[in-house]
Amino acid sequence: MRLKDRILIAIFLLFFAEGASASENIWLSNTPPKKISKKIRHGMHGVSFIKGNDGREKKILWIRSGSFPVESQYANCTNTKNPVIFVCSPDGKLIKGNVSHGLWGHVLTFEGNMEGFYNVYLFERFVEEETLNIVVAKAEVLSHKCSNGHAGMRKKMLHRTFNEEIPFEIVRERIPGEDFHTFLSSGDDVTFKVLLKGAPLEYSKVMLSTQKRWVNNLKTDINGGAAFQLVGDYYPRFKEINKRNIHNFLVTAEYTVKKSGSYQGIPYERIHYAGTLGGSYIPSKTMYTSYLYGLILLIFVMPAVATLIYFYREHRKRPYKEYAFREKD
Amino acid sequence: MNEKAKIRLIIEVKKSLKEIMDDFSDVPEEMGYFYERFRAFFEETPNNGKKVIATMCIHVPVELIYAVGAIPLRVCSGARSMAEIGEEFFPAKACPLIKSTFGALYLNIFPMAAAPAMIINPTTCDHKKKIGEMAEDIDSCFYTLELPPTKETEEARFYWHMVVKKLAKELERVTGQRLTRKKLKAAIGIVSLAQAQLRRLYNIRKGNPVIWGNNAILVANAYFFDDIANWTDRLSRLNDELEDRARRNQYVVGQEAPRILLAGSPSIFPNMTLPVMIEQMGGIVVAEEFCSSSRSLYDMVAVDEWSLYDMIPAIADRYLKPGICPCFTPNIDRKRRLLNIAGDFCIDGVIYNSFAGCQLYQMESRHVEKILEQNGIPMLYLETDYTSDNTGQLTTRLQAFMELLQDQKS
Amino acid sequence: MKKIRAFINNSNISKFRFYFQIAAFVLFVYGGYFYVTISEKLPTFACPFNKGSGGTCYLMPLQHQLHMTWSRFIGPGGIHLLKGFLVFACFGLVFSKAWCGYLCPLGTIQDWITKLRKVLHIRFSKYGETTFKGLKKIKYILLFLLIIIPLGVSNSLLWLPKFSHDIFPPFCKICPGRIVLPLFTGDTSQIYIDFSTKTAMTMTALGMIVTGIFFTGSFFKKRFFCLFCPMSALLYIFSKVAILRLNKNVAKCTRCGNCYRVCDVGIKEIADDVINKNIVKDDCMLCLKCVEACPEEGCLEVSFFNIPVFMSTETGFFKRYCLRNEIK
Ligand code: SF4
Ligand code: SF4
Repeated sequence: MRLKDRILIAIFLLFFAEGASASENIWLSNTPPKKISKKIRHGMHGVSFIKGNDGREKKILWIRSGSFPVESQYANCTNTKNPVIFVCSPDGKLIKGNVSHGLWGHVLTFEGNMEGFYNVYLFERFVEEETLNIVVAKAEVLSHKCSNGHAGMRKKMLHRTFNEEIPFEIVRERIPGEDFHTFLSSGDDVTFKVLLKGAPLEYSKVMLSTQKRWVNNLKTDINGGAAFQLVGDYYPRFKEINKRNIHNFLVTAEYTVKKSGSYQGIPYERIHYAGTLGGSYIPSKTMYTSYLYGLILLIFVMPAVATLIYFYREHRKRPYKEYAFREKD
Repeated sequence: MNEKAKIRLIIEVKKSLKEIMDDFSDVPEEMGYFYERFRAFFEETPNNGKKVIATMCIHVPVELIYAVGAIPLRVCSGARSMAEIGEEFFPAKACPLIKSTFGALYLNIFPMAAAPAMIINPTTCDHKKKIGEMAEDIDSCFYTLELPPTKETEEARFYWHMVVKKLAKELERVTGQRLTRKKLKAAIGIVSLAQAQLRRLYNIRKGNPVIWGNNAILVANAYFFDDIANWTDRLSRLNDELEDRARRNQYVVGQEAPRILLAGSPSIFPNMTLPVMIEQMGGIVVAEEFCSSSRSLYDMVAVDEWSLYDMIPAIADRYLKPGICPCFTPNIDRKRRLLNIAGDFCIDGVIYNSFAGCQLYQMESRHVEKILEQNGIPMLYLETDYTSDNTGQLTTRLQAFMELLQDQKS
Repeated sequence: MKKIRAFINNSNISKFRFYFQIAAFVLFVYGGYFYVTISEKLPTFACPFNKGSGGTCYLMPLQHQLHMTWSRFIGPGGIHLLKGFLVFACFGLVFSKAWCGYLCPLGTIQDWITKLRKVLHIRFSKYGETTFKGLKKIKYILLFLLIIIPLGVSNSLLWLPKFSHDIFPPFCKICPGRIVLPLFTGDTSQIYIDFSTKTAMTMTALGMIVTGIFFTGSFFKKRFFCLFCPMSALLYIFSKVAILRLNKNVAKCTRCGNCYRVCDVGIKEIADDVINKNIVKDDCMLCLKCVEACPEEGCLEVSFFNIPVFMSTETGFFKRYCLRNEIK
């Protein structure tokens, strides 16, 4: 992404950030609270692991509330007492996920070491102020080790939806050529699709917020898609560059319909759907790299070596070659 | 002196040829051409105005000579009369081959009555080294080809490459023709065709004998001076005939004849005493390890890139690396080669001839004998000269050896 | 059967190799577009940085698998490493060094560059014996480094601080394959210098320099890069026990040196060694040019499962080297 584009986007975002919704969202994050970060094993793609009491390693997600990745609280509770936890392993089997409350706030853990994406959902329904809230926090946890091989990787990259069980869902479309080794990076165009009971939802409000509080709001189009460009928000000083710096983004989608009914005996007037999906990305791969210098060096080296060889050959045409001896004892 | 010597030489040639033609029957028809070549040994042959370059050894890269539009002519001589002329210039115990060759050079007697523009003389043995200094005695000019004393090291190889490159330049100068890629490629081509035919002859001789050994030696000898294309063509016809004979089981001797490998100093026409005697005594020479026959054309040039920068070193390599001349040290390859020949040709016995005066062959004979013994192959060591002084003793020793082999065989 | 054998022995295997290499090149460089993924442990430079790659060069997973803490070696990490190596070993055991001569895309590119030089009639270079012996050690050094550096990134070696992650994967960073092979699918993105850190800058700049030297070097020296290739060193482990072998019937060898002359790598032992039967040397790429150039019947011989499949013959030699330059 060129600098000009970046500035344009920044200005654009500044205007629209005003209207950002500030309602508290629940979302699933794979970033541990700072103070315990050291105790956690970090795997590929920012996946975090802890050792359970039984000594087995579990994947762990933190339940957080807030609309911006960094500022979001590590939640101490969820909206309801017993949220539905829905975890689907890469081979399509439902597996058990646990919500527990520990020192580090509310966490969601599950086991599994299969190759591919684990779809994790935290799903709640409750009535508040005559509104039925349907809250779906989603996370896609990629589990991959190169040593397990890459058989069938292309197929496993496809995303899955669960229309029956999960009424409202944000789906991140894969970027072209994405595979298990792809990190999203700033400058990538990413499309999020909002599905209501499996059908694309138009005019849903989608918001993408980044670590540095860049926010972009869009309405989904007729296909239920909202396309964002991941804005570069990592501008460290030259000495401190870390190209593997992972920063998070958060996508939220909302949609309200007027529809009355009652849920668990409590009547409501409308239904409010709210979905979240966390994600992470790294600085653009081309950050601080120079194509030109590379090319110059390459082009310089070739004739340089050729010249050396030429002179060597010329030198060899001289008839006599001296044998040199070391005079030192 | 010139005329007298020439007459004696002609008599010698005729006698030697007659002996071969008379004593051995059932000779392939195609041999006729080769007999004829030797009969006309001194007759002038037209060479289209091409320059003739004389060579004194198989280590001279003839491809280069062909490539500059000249004709190589090997002047190594086997004539007793010439050796007598040369005697004057050498110590008493010198090699007869050198004496003879020098004698011929001195009298300007060349096969085909040629007049060489240059004589390329590789520094193989001591005699050859010194002969180069005697240029003032003869008309033509010597060019010393500095053959390294060993072929094992890379240094020797690169040195030899330089020597051959230098020779190429010199040939360009002498003939006034530029060496080009196409010409050199063509030269490698014609020589390799000749090589292919010679190898074919060897393969034929691996089977039951369809040709006399002395005939085969003559054929290889003719390559010294014959036009290469003619020679190749004639040899291919001879091969055809021989293959045909083999198919019809028309052998020159029976199975019981001991198969002999002749090794060491070369039999060069007209000095054919040894092979003739062996075959008169009922043996059959099926293979020679001579620089006048098998070694001269056996090894092949392999070029990777058909440009001068690779062709010339390739040619140079072919004349150094597989060389098994006893002038190289070490020379394990010669023993390995002898064993290999002995296996391939089903040899019953080896007759190792060394010219009196050739210290290199003499000294190497001990090792060779030991190795052959280890492999159960009997060897007879002989020292001969171009003179017929000691024929009696030679006959007895040969006879004894042949009887031994015949006993072993039956 | 005899006829088939004679046909093969008299054939021009270099020509066959030329077309075979093209096919292999297409497979390894463009195969990915046709959903071909042969394996991820290939003993050849099927570079995964190239999007069309039809497989993965083993050096990449090897470096990744070595990039782990000591404790994981005794656990699943070690097992994966072992498993990966076994797969690699299978490939190596079957085709041995023929991976280099017949399948490696980078080798093929070098052969093409050589063809270009040939057409221009520019002389090739050859190393002197001592230079050759010195240079050939580089591949073992590189192999050592590509093993030790990943370990040093995730562990502290000899109480040194861990290496910067920017050096990882060390060999890929300097491998010309990473830069050259993607060019064939129109991807120039690997030509860059990364200025973000000193390590990154050094490694990427080194990569560019090596690539530059690769082009010029292989123009003047046949199979220039192969002498330094760590994969060749790794494959050498199997060449003594591999199913595909190059044997020499030492008794028949005249030490004419033809085989040495035509050898693109410049292996002297192929001609001079008259003791060992199994003649595959660490730099050899089993291109079999030497077998073609040997005029001695059955002296050099290629065997598969101990069955001779191709051997030097006199007729074959004459067919390939002499009769085709018949003069008018
Ligand atoms: S080409 Fe054959 S005979 Fe010549 S050195 Fe090589 S293996 Fe030996
Ligand atoms: S030794 Fe033979 S097979 Fe090996 S690289 Fe050299 S020419 Fe090719």
